Amino acid sequence: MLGFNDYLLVSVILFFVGALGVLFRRNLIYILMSLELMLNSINLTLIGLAKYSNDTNPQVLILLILVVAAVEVAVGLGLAINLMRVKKTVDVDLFKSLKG
Amino acid sequence: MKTVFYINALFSLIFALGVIFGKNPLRSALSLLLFFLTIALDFFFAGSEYLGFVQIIVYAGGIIVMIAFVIILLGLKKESPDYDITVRSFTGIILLGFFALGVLYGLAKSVLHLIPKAPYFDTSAAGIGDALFSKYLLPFEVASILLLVGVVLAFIFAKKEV
Amino acid sequence: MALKDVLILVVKISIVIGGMLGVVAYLTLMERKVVAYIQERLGPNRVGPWGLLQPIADGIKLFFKEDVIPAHVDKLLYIIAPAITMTMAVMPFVIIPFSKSFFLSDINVGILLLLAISGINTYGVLLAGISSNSKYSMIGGLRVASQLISYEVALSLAFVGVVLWNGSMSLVKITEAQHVVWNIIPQFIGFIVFFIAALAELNRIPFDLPEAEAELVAGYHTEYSSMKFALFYLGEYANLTAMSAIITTLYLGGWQGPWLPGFVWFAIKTFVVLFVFMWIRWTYPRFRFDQLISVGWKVLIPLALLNIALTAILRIYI
Repeated sequence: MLGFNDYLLVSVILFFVGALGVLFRRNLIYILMSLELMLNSINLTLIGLAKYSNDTNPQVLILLILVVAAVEVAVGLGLAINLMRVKKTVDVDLFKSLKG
Repeated sequence: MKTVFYINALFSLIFALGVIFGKNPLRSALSLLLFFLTIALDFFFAGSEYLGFVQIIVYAGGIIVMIAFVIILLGLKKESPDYDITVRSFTGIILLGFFALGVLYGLAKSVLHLIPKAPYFDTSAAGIGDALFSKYLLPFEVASILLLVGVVLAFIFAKKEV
Repeated sequence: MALKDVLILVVKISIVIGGMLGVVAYLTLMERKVVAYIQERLGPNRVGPWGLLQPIADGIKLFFKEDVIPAHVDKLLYIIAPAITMTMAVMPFVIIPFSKSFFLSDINVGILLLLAISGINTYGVLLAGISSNSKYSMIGGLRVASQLISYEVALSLAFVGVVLWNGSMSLVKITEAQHVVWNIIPQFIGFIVFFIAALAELNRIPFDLPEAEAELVAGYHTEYSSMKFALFYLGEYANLTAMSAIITTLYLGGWQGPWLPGFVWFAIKTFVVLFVFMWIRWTYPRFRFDQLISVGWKVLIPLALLNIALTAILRIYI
């Protein structure tokens, strides 16, 4: 029987993989994609919870997370285009003109 | 059912690793697309057809196309891996490891039976819509404002002269 | 599921796919005949009576041509791109009701399935453009990405109007709800928006910027040859057929109609829509790209939103 535990296990692993990407890559596009991985692993937890507790609320939360993910990607990619134009690179380690 | 779920989870893991260890940005984006499709499959397993299709429409039809578009526009080609291996990122990984261990410990203790269980699982679009437009009206409006802000911000960022 | 059910399903699927491929092959002939008569020519008439064997001759020719894979392409993506186009073109027929009892499946979020399919359909063209590694294909791919994203919004909003009016997302229920009056009357604005967005989704003139032959050689399929080119070509017509069938189902009452059996009505309506598509193709010139994007965002999307508001008001007061 497929329970909430299975969903939670898989989504923790996927969240870990996504976080690995965010922490270890320097390319802005890769960081955005890893953030999407993390958001999706949260979605997986929520659908497991919804199925386990027969509840509609987690499903609504998934829809809201979809909105957040879409906005995040749109703004992040706009930022990437602008940074490419100004700095000619998408390496996040080189964006430190605001660093004290 | 459990076997199918875990096989699908294995594919999710493979595609996720393909995203973060990829060298060619476009291939990584396509790997991300396949990852999203496996997650949509998980939604179908849970019985929520509506969310599964919404997932495919939003991620496959919108987000990945945008990412691929930007990758072509910026002309990002195959590159040598750019791992950022510093003390900072290792600290992050160790903290995350503790987080994962905590979740797994919680799994082992399994207090999940405390979650109340409703008698009937409503996965239909009508059921979700009812909840969204009555109980969750405020979050819904906030999400719409967030979308508006996102549109304006993306426009300003990507414009040539600010 | 018993063995008998499986057999029946297999037979049904074979009928749908076989019939559709036959229709698609003969659509190429129909298009050439239509353009010929519009331009006061005769069109193909050498192979068989009235040129009826022309599609078969074309097929054999394409099949025996050399399959060139240029050295500079990204091989994996280059090969899967036409396959995605063709597969996703056939997919919508899974849920389209051809008559009262003949349909492959009835799922209660059918319209979302259609949108998901059209979302994935983008990748065939996009990947072809990127993987070919040539300037023309690249520009074609970029144009496809921006064009399809823009018009998919209008398309989905037009769908929302239909769903709101009929109170269901299942295509079978939507068809049945139209037995008194077809959706084209209460949803007229939605129909116009849907039709224009469908033209853009199909990359047909006046929106065929991705493969504009005057500026981009052949756009995304410049580097393709032989059977892979044929798959793109057929995929284009399969998409056209699928879109006509969707318009028939959503707006023109599907298989409903007096006297004749449902299937015949469905075929007649689909062919009328197909003919209108061809008629438009050979009548209008091509848009400029900035015009295309501004039509999508500044005209179609506000119109579709207006349509949703009007539908909601009508729904409450009628």
